[in-house]
Amino acid sequence: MELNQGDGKIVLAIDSLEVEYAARRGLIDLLRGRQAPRLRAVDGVNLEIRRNEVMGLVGESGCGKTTLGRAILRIVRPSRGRILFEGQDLLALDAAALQSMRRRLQMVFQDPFSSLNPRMSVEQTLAEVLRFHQMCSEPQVPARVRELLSLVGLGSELAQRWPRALSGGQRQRVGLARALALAPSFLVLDEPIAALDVSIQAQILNLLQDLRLRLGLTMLFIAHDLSVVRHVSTRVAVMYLGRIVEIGRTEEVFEHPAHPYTQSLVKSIPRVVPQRRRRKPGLSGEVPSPLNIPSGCRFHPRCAKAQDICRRVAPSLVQLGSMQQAECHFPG
Amino acid sequence: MAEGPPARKPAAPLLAVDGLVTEFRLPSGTIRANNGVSLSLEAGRTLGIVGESGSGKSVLCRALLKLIPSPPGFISAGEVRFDGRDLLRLDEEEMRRIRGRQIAMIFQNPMSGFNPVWPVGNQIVEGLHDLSASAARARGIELMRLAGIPSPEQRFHEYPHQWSGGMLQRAMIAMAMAGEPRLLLADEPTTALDVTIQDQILALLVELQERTGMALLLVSHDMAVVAETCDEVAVMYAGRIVELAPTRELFEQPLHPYTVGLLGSLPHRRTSDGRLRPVRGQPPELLQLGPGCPFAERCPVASDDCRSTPVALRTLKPGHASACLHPERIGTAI
Amino acid sequence: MAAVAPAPLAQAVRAELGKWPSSLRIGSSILAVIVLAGIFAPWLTPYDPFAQDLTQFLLPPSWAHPFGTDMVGRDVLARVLYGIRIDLEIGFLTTYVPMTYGVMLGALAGYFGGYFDSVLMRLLDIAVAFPFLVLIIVIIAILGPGIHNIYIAVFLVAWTMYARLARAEMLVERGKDYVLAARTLGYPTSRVIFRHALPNIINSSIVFSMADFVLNILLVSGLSFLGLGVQPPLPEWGAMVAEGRDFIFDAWWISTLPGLAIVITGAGLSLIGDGLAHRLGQRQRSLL
Repeated sequence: MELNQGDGKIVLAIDSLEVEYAARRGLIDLLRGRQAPRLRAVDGVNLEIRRNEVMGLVGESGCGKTTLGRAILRIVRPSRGRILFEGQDLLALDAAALQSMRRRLQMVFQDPFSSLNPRMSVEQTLAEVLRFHQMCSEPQVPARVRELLSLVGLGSELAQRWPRALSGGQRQRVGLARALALAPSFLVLDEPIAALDVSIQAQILNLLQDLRLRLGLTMLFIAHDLSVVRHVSTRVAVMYLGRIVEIGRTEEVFEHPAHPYTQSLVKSIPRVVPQRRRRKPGLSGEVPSPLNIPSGCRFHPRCAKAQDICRRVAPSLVQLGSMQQAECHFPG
Repeated sequence: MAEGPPARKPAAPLLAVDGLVTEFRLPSGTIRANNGVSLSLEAGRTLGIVGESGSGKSVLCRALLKLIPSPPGFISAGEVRFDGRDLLRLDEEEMRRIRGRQIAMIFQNPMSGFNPVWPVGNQIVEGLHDLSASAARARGIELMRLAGIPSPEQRFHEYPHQWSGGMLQRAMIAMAMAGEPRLLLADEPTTALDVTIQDQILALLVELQERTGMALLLVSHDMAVVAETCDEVAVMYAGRIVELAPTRELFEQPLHPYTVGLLGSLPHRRTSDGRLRPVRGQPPELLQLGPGCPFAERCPVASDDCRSTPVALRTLKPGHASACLHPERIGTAI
Repeated sequence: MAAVAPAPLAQAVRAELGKWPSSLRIGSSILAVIVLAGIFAPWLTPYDPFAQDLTQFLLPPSWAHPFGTDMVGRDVLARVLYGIRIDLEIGFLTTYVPMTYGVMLGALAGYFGGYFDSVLMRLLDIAVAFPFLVLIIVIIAILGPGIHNIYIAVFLVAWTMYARLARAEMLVERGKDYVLAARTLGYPTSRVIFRHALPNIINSSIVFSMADFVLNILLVSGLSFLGLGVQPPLPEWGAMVAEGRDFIFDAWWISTLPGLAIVITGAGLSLIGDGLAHRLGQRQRSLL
C-alpha cells in the first residue's frame, strides 16, 4: 500500500501559470528606451495535485521546474495565472493571509550547503521557526526541537552544532525538520537529494517516504534524476521549455511514454544492466534556451517524428489513458 | 550470459598501479586519500571507478598524472607503471610529455576547463605545436567533428561562454583526443550534465574508445553510468579499492557489503516494499580511521575482528577481488 | 544530558582564541595596551596635558619627563597618553558610524535592487569620482576647520565603500537557499535581511574597517597637521606633530614621539585587519 494514489481531493490547482524574468539590459538599451528581453520560464502551466499524492516534476535544466516550485511558494511572482491552494488563490492573498498559508505549504531546498544559515546553530534555526509562528509555548520549544530532530532521524546532541559541523545528509535532514516545524500539509521538494552521495540519497528517500505516510503529506517532488522520480512519485509531470508536455501515473509515463520528449528522456536513463551499451543516445541536440522558444511545438527541432504541422501549430493536450495526457500532435 | 568478457590478452597491461599511497599532510593530521591502491588496465578496455565523495577516486586520477597539489599532497609510496615505465620516477619534463599525448584527462566541470577569453577552437589545438596554423585548424575542426560538435568550422572561433555545458564537454573530449592518447582519464565527465546530454557523452566516449583502441578509466559516483560503459569496476571506499570485478559479476554477485549497499541505494532496483536498502550511517572521517576495515562501522555483517584486523584486497574468484574479511556472510545477511 | 560542560562560554572563548593567527594576537595585544593606556592615563602620568610650565620648556627625555617637554613646557608623554582618547575616538567614530549606515544601505540596495539600487549606485559613482582627501578638504573648506566639521565631511563620504562591499555581497547572498528558506518560512523582509543575510555579509566590511580605521586616524592627523582638524591646545597626535615641526632639529621628541604613537597604533590595527581577514576567511572556507 506504500504508494497510494491520494484520496482524490485536489489540494493544489495551478491554472495557466506564467512566470517571466526580465533579462538584463545594458545602459545603451536603457537610454534608447528598449524593452528588456523577457524570458518566460513558465509558460502556461496547468497542474492539479491531489491530497496525499507525490507529484514528480522532471525536465532538463532550464525547463522551468524550479521556477514553478518557487512560484507556488511565492518566492517568484507569476505574471499570469492562478494558484489555488485548498481553494484559496495564493496570488491574491494579502501579507497576513499569506503568512498563515505558509504554515501549510513548505519547501525543501536542493543545496544542503547553502540552505542553512551558517551563523545559526541547528537549535536556533528550528527554534526561530517555532517561536516566530508561535507553534508552541516558550517552555516547550526545546522539547519540540528535539522532537523535530528525532522525526528526521537526528539525535538531539546535534542541536548545538553549527551547519558547518554537519554532513550533507545531516544538513538536508535539518532543512526538512525546519520545513516540518510548521506542520505543513504540502511540501515542495526542489532536487532534495541531488547534491548528496548515493547511499545518503537513499537514506533521505526512505525518510521522505516514512514522513509522508506518518504525517499525511502531499508532495511536489522536483528532480532531474528520472529514476529517483520514478521511485518516489505516484504521478509524473514532464516539463519542457516552460510547459508540461506529458503527465500521468508514474508507471504509465515510464512504461508507455506518449510524448516523443518523454520517450527520449526515458531512453536516456542509464540502465543498471551490466552490459556494454550498444544503443544510440536517446535524444540528439542541446538543451534549448527559454530566451528563444521555437514556433509551433516547442520540441520540434529535436523531435524525430516532427512533421510540417509541428513547426506551425502548437499542439494541445491530448487525453490518452484514464490519467495520462500529452501535448503532442502524434502521441504514442 | 551470451557474451562473456572478451578474452584477455596475456600481454603486459598498459597501466599497472601497485600500492599507490597519496597523502595530504594537513595541520590537523595526515589524510591518506589513496591508501594502497592497486589496479591494472589493458589497452582498449574500460575500468570504472565508483565511490562516494571522499573515497579518493578523483585524487587517484590526479595522482596518476602527478597533478596532486604539493604541498600538502604527496605520493608517498607505490608504483604507477604506464607502458612499462614507472611514472612516479619521471621528472616533471618527462611527465609533461606523457600528459596529453599518452594520457589525457577530462573533468567534471567543462566550464572551468576552458579559458574564457580564448576561442574554444584555439584551446583544442593548443597542444599541437608541431603543426602549422592552418594544419592545426584543420585538425581542430576534424577533432570537433569527431567529438560530435555540429558545424565546427563556424564554432571554432566562438568563446566558451557561447557554448552549453554539454558542448563544452564535447570540446574537452576533442581537446583530450588531440594528442591521440593511449589512456583517457574521465573524472565524473557527465555529473554536471542533464540526463539526455549525459547519454550523448557516454555514447561518444564508448564510440571514440572503440575507434581508437585507447584505454578508458571512468570515474563516477553513479553505478548506472558505470554499469553500461565499463568492462570492469573498482569500488572505492575511504581511499582503498574494496572490490574489483568484471562489471556483470560485480552487479550480480557482489562480494563486499559496501557494494551491496551501493546497489541497494539505487532507486532503479525496487524492492517488494518500495523501500531502498542503503548503507546506514555516514562515510568515515579519514583522520580517524582505526586499524581494521574502514567500512566496519557501517557494515551490517561486521564482527569485532573486522574492526581490529587490517584488510587487504584479495582475489576470491578469477578476476574478482574483495577486501572483505568475511565475504561468505554477504549472501546470508543481506 | 547529564554531562553538560561547566562553562561553555569560557570554553568557546578559549577555543576561538586557539584559532587566532599570530597577527591577530599581536595586533589585538598592541591595541589592548594602547586602549588601557588611554583609559588609565591619569594614573600613568602625574602631569596635566594642558598645564604649561614656561620654566621647563624643550627639556629632552629624562626620568621626570620620559618623552621630554614641548615649547611651552607641557609634558609630551602626558599629551601622547591623553591623545589616545582623542585619536581612537575620532578613528572609531569616523570608521564605524559610516560603516553602520553604509552597510545597511548597501544591503538594502543589494536585496531589493530596482530603482533604489540604481539611485544609490549613481550616488556612489559620483562620490568615488572625486579623490577622497580632496573631497574632504573641499567640504571642510566650506564648513570651516574643526573636529565637528571633519566628522560631517567624513560621514558624508566614507560610507560609500561599505555600501559597495555590502551590496556586492548581498547580491550573492540573496539568491542563496537559506535566504529563500527564510522567505518561505514567512519571516518579514526586515528579519530576512537583518537577522539572516546581514551577519553573513558583514565580514568583508569588518576586515576593511580595520584598514579604514588606520587611514582615518592618519587622515585626521594629517588634517590637524595642516591646521584643518583638531585645534590646539587639544593633544591630538597629528596636531602635536605639526606643533613640533619648527623644533625638529633642536627638540626631535616633540614631533617624533606622537608620530611613533600613530605608527604603532596603525601597525596594531593593520595586524588585526590582516589576522581577521585570515580568520574570517578560514571560517568561510570551512563552510564549503
